[in-house]
Amino acid sequence: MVIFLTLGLVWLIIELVRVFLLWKKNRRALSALVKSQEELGYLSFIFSEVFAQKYPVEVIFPKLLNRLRESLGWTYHSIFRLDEERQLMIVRFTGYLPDWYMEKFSTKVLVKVGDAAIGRAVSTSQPVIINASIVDPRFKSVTQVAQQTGYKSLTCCPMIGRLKVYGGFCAYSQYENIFTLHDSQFLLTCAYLYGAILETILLQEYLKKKDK
Amino acid sequence: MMYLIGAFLAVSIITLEIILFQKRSFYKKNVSLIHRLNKNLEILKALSFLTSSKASSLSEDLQQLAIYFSPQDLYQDFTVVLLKDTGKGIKGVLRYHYNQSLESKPEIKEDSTLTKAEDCYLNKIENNFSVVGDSSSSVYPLAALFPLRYSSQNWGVLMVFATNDFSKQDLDFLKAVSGVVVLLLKKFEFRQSLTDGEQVAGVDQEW
Repeated sequence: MVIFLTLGLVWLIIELVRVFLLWKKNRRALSALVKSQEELGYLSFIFSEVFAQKYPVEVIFPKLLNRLRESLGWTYHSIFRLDEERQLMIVRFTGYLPDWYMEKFSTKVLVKVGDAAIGRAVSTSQPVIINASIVDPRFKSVTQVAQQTGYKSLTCCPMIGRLKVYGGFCAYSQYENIFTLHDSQFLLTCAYLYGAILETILLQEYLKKKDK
Repeated sequence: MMYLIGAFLAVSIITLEIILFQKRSFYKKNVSLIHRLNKNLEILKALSFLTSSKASSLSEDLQQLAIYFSPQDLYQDFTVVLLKDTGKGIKGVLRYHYNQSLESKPEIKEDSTLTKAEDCYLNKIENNFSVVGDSSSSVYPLAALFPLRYSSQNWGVLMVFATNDFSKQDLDFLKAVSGVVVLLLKKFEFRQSLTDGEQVAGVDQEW
């Protein structure tokens, strides 16, 4: 009897451990599921909202940035325009960043192509992930801005269309080590779509002018 | 006393086994759903690169698009139907079907399945999408239809056939795919309407 009870207890403990491990796996799986759903929902939003009505650039991009924060939770965002002649990056739109940021980086301090995270992303046509902006020795200028604005990690992606590179897009988080490889790929997809949308709007405007 | 403890343990173990079984099936469901969603996302990521492709014709891009919709894979079939307003009603003019070239079936009117779906599309043109059952087809009982339009401009419809119900995630995914198709159509419209030089001048405008 004692042997049976001991075996039963051991079995019970093993089962409990298995249930616990399964529960942990499930939690991870569920959070991944929710994230995938939100990402799909955001991409679907881009098309349903943007194409249902034709908005000007000034309306579309703030709308897209706001929805990105609502859906996926990254704290701040910015879109930079590439000035091809001067090879400079100029802030065009921001999402939830302080007003001085827009003022400073659109008029006073212009990032050169190849410099800082956004300049690097545009010059290499690859996303740049900085998961510890305060201590990352590669980007001292980013460290200074991060201290002022309060973000701790960022990912920058180039906005590329069929005809040319239009600029760059950055997402920032107030937490460290938040951006995964999957996130950077997703943001790159968004940046490509932003580039395609921008190109479509510019060509559509040109076509209208031509038809007049 | 010993028997009581033994009975208690036995009941506990059986209960736990039931919970475990439920958890397992729940987990399995989650895994397949995650796999499906992740696959959808991967396809969308790949498709977004199509928007910057320099393909010389629409059929080349649509061919690339259809490759991601293998029949054994996510959906039974993948069809893009383009409609145009003739003034006396809307008429199908172009069809791209997986494994068939654009030129081989230029008219959709002869295909009863597509004609039915086209009617449904026309009836529900105000909606973002419609899902309809097609009882006349035993192979493709379900079709999801997505208007292909930009602003007030209508090109046609993206149709996808399936044997199982479309979930909310499927519809989100296909809606995004229809957006990619719109961008491709727009791209070729610009190519037809603007010279290379004009296109360069167009995108050089300050934004």
